[in-house]
Amino acid sequence: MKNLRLKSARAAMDLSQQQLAELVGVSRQTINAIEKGDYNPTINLCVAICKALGKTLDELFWE
Amino acid sequence: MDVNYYMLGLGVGILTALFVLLILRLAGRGRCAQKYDERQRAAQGRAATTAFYTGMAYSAVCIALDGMFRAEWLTVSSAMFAGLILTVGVYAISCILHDAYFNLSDSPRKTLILLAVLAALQFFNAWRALTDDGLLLDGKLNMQVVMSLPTGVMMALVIITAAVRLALDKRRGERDEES
Repeated sequence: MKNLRLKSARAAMDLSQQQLAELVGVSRQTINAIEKGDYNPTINLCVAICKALGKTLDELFWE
Repeated sequence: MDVNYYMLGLGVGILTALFVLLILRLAGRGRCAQKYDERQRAAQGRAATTAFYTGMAYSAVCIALDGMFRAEWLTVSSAMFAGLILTVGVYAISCILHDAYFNLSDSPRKTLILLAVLAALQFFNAWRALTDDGLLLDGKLNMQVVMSLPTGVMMALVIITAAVRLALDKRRGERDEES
């Protein structure tokens, strides 16, 4: 299932997938896979993404 | 007991190279572990499984064919080396298809250029062995050709797959950013 909230939060901060990937320490393809719903990140990666975007886990990843 | 010193030297060389790689990997374990992200490491694990089952299937096919046809020109070392190249190629291509081949600090362009040079050397070796000694030596496949030609072909396939994947990924990335 696509993660549109992550995509919106990233766009709101005017970050490209590559820029967010560099902030978090993963590849651009991983960010792309998470946004498309092709990959479920571990809790550590979720926390890292939330910190980079200034959001909570609930806001980005809770359904 | 007849000892094939060429094969012995080759075996020792391969073991030495593996040993050196192991030492380097253990020495840089902390650094290396960061270079691939979690999704890439998971994809590499699945690629290793695919390569393992490919190796098993290849071995089963070799055993069956040997039982049926008994090819005198094919030695065990030739068949095993071909199987080794096949499993390495399957692993590499599977990693490439799941964007797990290049780590975060790799320069794909430099890696592909290096692979292209190595593939060219392998093809040159194979061509030289074929022109100097031919495909068969004493009724058996020429080991120089057996080792160089499949290695060159595997490297060429890896390069082509990686280049196509990188081009598609760049286009997909631009499209995803626009949407």
